[in-house]
Amino acid sequence: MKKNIYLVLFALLLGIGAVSCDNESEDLFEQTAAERKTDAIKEYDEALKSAENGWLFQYFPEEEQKYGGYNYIVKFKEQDSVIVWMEGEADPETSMYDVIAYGGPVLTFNTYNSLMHKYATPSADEYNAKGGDFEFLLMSNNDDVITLQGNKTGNDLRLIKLTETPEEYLMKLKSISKVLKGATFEGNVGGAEVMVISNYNRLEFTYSEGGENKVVDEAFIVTDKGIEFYKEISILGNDISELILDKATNQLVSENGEVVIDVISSPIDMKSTRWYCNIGAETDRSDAIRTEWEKVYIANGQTYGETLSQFLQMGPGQGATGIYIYSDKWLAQYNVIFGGVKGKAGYLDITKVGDGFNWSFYTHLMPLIDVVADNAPYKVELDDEDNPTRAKLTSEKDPDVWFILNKN
Amino acid sequence: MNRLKYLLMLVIMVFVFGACDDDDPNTDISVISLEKGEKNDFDKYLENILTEPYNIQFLYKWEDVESDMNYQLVPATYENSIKMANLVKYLCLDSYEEVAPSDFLKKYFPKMFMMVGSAAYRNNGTMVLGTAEGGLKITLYNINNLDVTNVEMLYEMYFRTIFHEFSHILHQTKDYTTDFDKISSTDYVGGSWNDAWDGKSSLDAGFISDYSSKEPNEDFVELIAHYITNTEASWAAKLEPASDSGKAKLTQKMTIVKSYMKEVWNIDMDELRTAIATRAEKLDEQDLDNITIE
Repeated sequence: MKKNIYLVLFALLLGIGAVSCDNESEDLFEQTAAERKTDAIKEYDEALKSAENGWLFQYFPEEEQKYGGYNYIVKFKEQDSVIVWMEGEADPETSMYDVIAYGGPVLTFNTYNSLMHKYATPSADEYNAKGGDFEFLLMSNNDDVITLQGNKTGNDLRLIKLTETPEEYLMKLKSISKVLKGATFEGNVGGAEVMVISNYNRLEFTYSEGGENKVVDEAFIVTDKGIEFYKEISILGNDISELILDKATNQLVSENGEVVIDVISSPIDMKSTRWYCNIGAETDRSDAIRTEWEKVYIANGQTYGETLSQFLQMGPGQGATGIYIYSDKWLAQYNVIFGGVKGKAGYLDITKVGDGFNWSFYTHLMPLIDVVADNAPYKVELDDEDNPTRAKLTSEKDPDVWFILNKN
Repeated sequence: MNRLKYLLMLVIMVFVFGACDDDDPNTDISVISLEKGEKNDFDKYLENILTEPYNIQFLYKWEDVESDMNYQLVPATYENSIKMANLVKYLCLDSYEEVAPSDFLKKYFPKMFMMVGSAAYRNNGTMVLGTAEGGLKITLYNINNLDVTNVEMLYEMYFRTIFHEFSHILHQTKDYTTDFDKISSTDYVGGSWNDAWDGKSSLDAGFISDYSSKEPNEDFVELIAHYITNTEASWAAKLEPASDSGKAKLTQKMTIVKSYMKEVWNIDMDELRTAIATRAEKLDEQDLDNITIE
């Protein structure tokens, strides 16, 4: 009996002793977490600095990518300095960067750079800015492409190693964006008509499939060949991730050739740039425009006792493109679509859409809109082909109707 | 036989328990890594003019963990951060240095400055000027719009905030007399200071700013911040439009503030005011872009 008790006791002790040893779990990594973190940071920092020509940074601000994508070129140098180029901007700007640990290796542009922080800079009007990131979680690196994620937006972004100089690549981008800027589009997918509307760097496709109306809306970024979508889209059975610009035909075409979009280029960018006509200056408008302005000026005075501005503005306005004018401090906008004329380079068309911001209170201003819109299309003469600041618009129908737009 | 069995048991036990003994952590490897980064000339300059003499950390590179997540903000420019560092030294630290006992700044001055490039905009379009956390860290906003030629703006946007927060540290270290609280005791409006004075004058009620009317501590430090950023003439002009009772209260409160600063901290407020004004006058002679260590 006594012997058995001893045996049981021994077995128990052995059990406890053996079980208590079971903490010998195998290490998954050879190094500690801290060492791995430091190594990851060093690895990314060296990779970033290794690109002789810098990296193309395909950047999408805002968590729903509602402004589309924009190209940066970033070149990382010693002493934590970085040179930043941006599409559409003439000169690069230098600031600082760092790769830090913040829930993983994070690339941060940690001193201000007016290009890099453009979409993140708030103002009294836009207290949340345009939802741009300037800190990015580094996700993976396979030599020529580094994938990252915006810290605030979670947007998936890419750094692509450049094989040419930043200047050379930006020139290629410019040759594409010049065709697309301010353009209107007419789509055709496998013989079916598709309505295509652009808003910032986004395209919206409206079409009919099986008797049902469908809308596909996606952000894009300009590439050296055409445009690339943030996410692959599917239209009438075609999966499309990019569209190549055929400069001979002025068409954006999908890889399989099924999706063809006619690009009707505009001689002047009325979608992202604001312009104004100074009706008060005799040199800046024909009498036909002045006469209609005088009529509505008087009508406006009689209706509200307000003074109508002599500056007629056009371009991106409240929620849509339009023609707008101030009456004292009130803004009234009539929505129109500005676009090129198919087969007629150098002409601008203006199509009425409907009442815009505050317009219902100012319908008496309609004659001024009528004289501008009803005499479209206009032949456009620019002061500078590349960077126009002044444009003369002369009606094709009636050469006595003309006005000059100044860049705002 | 029995003995042999026990011996065997003992040997087995030793092996079993002994086997557990090899899991000591390797003390040669630190699990805490401090990222030092590369020190540039400005970093070295900051160490020389702020960190070594005053134990002040001047953060000009964006640090997410140090910034206010409630606002959309961007970093400060490198160039304007240099200007601000030189301004803090010239207009603030050196002014106190002229009139305060030695070691006063190192002991009590706020220990961390954080530069933010943009203003902190609220959703109604108004903005936050500067903020402070526990008297330790001062965040200065809108550094990218710094205009060093406009002294009044410098006071308004940055330096009154610094003097204000510094003064909080002082009274939290050694409190002022409760006689101060009694002067405006029934007039403090608490959290509604922002809209309590619509169409009325806080000056008439004996407050140097609307914010002063929040509570006695804010009143006390606002008086210091405003007093030393005004000349004798501009201070008099500021008080001029106040009602007689407002003026009387302000004078009474200022007497307490002045004697507190003199008795507790051995600082003459008028001397300090003169030191700041003299420096402000010569601001355009200063090289605010300098990062050369002398």
